[in-house]
Amino acid sequence: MGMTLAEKILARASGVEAVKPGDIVLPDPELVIVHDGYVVSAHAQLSDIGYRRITHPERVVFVTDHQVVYTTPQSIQQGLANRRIAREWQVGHFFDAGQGGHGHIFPMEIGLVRPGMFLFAYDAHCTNFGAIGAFAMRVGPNVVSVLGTGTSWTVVPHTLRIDLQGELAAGVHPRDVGFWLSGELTSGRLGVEFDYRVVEFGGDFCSGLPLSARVALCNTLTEIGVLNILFPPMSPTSGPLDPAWPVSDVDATYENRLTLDVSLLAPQVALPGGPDRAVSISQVEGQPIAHAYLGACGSGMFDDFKAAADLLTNHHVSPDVRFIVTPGTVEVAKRMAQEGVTQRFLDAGAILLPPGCGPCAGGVGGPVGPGEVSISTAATNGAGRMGAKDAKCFLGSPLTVTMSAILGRIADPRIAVVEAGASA
Amino acid sequence: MNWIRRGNAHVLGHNVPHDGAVMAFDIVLSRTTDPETLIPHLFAELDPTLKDRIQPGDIIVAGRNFLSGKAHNAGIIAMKALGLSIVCESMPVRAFQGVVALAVPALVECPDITAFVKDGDEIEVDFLQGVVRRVATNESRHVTGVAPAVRSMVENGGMRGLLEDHLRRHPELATPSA
Repeated sequence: MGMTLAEKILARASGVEAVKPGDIVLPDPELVIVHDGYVVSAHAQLSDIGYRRITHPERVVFVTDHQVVYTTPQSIQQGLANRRIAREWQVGHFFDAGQGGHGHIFPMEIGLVRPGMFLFAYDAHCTNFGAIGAFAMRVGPNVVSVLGTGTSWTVVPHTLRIDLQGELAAGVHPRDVGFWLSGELTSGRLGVEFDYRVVEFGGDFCSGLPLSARVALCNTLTEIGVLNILFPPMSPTSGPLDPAWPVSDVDATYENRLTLDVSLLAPQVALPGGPDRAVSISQVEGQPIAHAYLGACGSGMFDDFKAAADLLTNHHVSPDVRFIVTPGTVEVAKRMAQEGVTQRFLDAGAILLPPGCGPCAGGVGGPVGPGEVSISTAATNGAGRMGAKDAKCFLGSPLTVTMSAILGRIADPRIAVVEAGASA
Repeated sequence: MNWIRRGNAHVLGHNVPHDGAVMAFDIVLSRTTDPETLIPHLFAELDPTLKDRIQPGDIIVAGRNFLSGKAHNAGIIAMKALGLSIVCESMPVRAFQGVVALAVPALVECPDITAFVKDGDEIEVDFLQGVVRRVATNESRHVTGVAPAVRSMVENGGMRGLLEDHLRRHPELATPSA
């Protein structure tokens, strides 16, 4: 009996020949990633039990993306504590403020997370690594168990295979596919289970996607409760395929298989409350906004900013809008500077923040105020996610967010495509 | 470990998320694990009066998809400290792992239980056998009991118990790195 990519990676990490959905395993991670917001808490919990060191510190990665510029007195104390704990525990990979950037993106850029790898991570959006065919298991607060003992009990998930066909219309973006698919799944319209499932993507549409588009899809589906999202392995640096990378067997067992066509999809906007509250943009077009945010783990790669900057050409951000732009990583920020993308954002009146999560991490830098309306590429949009609890936070693709920032209201990026066609 | 519990039921609806209902997102972001800090905020955003009606040992009865959204655990820490237990129609697996990690007794496959139990009912729950009984009427419902593997993890004290065991077997982890 064949195995899915998820099952192969989990079997290898667990030191067994094969696994099947429902098995409880104790996988051995190659890396353990904890972000700056949870290091102190994890340390306090382990210290309280009597731990003075951790198991396999050489595998542990501390990333600093939630609080990069220390916007509160508490956050500077947290930064000091994280540094002390990194030394005390002798963690193998410590990325301090200003180093690396977003912990769901830069570990792929620098080759720390590689195709076929199994790792544990505190934060749920580690599913980004599925874009290169790595299996990052979100453990949340149980990361304390991983730090202490080296692993954590894990139930082998079912896999849902989704083959996407067709091509997106101009102005429609892979994040729109993500919002739409999330809504189709949580509404029950697709009639398949998704809680704790691995979604494995395939099909003609997916085979041609660049890494940034794969990341957009992995990221957007995460919030609905799927365990992971996997693509067949690819090199994050566009290198050749390695035949040693695992792929799903042709006779792998999927709980469900769906084939969906994306050709007729319109840009989607997620209403406040969650990425799956997706509607076609026509339903919210014209809604005035005060805040727009481009960045976060689902839209923090160079391609995202390049596409947005192209849309900004000959335009200026609306005087009624604060347009916050946060490159995902230090490397992305450098390339944006080298290729003139940063200049175009600044010329258009955008506000640039340092690499990291930006306002998506609880409104740390560039937050929304009480009653304000925002549209962003944030990972999610629950109440209070980006500042004031009574703010209305919509989500859209990088194209939709940028078009909306220009016009001061939620706007369909396809109008720019029409304009460009008319002036050509 | 007491697997048969009797207490007042507090019946919640479907799709009650952790963040923004069981615990406010700003409290979650404080990353505190101190129960005394968390308890005053438990359920405050769902129903500001609920906390005052809850007595230690009571039972939270929830609908489908209880503790949905991000599987944070601040609210579970507060529930644990109050000696609460959970009976719900369904729960996301990741949230369930958090509940087990904190050694909170929970029945998470109880279809239509929110139609059976009324808010404020005194109920008795046998978590191992999977029986929910309304004390006043003596009516009961049979549901899926706690699985043996989960039972042993909860009886061992959840994640903390596991970490204590590991430290006993690996005493070197109690000494600082050179």
